[in-house]
Amino acid sequence: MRELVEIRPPAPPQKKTGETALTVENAGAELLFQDSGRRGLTHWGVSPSGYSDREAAREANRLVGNHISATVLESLMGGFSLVAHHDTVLAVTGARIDLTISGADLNQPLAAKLNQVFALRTGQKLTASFAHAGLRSYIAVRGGFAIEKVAESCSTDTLASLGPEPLAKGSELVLADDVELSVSSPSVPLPIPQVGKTVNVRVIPGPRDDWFTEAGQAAFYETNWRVTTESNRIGVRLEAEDDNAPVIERKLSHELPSEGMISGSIQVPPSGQPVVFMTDHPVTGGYPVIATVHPEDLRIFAQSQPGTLIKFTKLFPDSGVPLA
Amino acid sequence: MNLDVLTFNRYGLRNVLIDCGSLENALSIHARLATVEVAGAIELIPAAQTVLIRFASQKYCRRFLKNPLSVLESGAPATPTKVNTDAERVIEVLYDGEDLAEVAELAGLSQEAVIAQHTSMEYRVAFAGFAPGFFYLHSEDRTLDVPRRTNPRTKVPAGSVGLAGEFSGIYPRTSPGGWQLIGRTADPLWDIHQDPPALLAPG
Repeated sequence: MRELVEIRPPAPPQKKTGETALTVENAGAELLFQDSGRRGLTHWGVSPSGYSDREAAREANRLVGNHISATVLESLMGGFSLVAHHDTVLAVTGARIDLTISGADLNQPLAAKLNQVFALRTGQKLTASFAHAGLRSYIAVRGGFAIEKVAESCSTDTLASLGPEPLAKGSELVLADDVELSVSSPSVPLPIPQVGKTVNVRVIPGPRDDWFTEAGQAAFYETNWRVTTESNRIGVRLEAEDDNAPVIERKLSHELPSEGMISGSIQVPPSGQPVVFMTDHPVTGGYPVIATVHPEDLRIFAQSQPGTLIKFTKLFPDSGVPLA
Repeated sequence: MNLDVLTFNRYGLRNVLIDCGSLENALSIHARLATVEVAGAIELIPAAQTVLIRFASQKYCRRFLKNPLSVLESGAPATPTKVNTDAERVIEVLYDGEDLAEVAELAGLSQEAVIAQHTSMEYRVAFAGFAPGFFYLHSEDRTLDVPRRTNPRTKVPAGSVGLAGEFSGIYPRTSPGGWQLIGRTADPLWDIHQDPPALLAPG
């Protein structure tokens, strides 16, 4: 007997832009527009902003056939729900959340998968659970969002309150027509750190590692650090897992004159609790940076729930090989 | 511009932090880098005593670090940093800040003298920093140099005029801050709907 193969009809063409495509019924802890951010505006003190987990955001865009730098929704800890007013094509990446599609036209709710394109048809609702693991989810809609750029980007900068307002219950989302390619086949979700497990993060030492003693620097690399709740898009604050861990001892005790900062800079303030700068970081800072996170590992901090353990590995910048 | 005092620090994979020794030198170096157009440089961030160069890739970063002085020495001979005297802004300040008495004590002056001193000084916008519209204002006169507060405030009202070290600054919006507040201004420092959005600019 031959197998019965069900061929799904292709999704009907999306309506033209200008109309509300989706409404936010629940925004969860935080739901923001983000794109690739702002560049070249540091002379006005404007932070780079943009996706916290750039790789997951790009993957969501790639799946739906958008330009990889298109505007997406960035959700903190899941718990969001969206209702479609006409047929839409979505993909969700990042934190491990359960996605459910419900609607009057369905006999029972459907499960949607991460890293896989799915349709959300007129009248259907997409509900996300809270994140079991990871912190940030990226929701890309085919065509992108039709919102005005502010200072050349659609990103919400949470430090400066620049860009679109955070989304809330009742927010209406209008789609654009900016399609690059056809949708892509499902992909493997990017790794997500687990609470209580230790993740190795590669860092390049400096530029102010010489502000710390040898013992202080050793303490930075040997300590098991724990992500605290004092973390957001601006920075992730770490504390030693062991209360008796040695201090990151300073060699120079005077104040550091303010200097330029980058995403991934790890500042050590007098408290001794390192802060890892994320994309909404201030353009200049006054505490010495002992090391900088490798750009490919920055997403670990974008996805670490409080309680995740971090161990830093020193990387020699031009070899890609970890130092002893 | 003094090239002899410069040290170059690798910053992450593809950035270089140049120690310039002073604000004057940092601004000169920044001006020179902006003119010569360093290969692969995508952003220049001047600050109190440094210039940060962000490069598009590791390759450009390494190339620059092989011979950084040659890049700086190339091009036209160094001109001293010009003061753009056409761009002078007068900012009206009401001197009723919470830390005015403290500043007076630290500076060894009466409160009236502090106000007179602050209004008589000419400030140059040195660089931007910690928020859109927040500029570090610098004056040659050192009379009002005071340290930051030991306990920063969690909320500094928008428009507050503050002092820290050799700089004055105006908080464009309500934010945390550790500077000594001596007054406030109603002048809008940052409005995204204006072009340009910032009231002040470096220089």
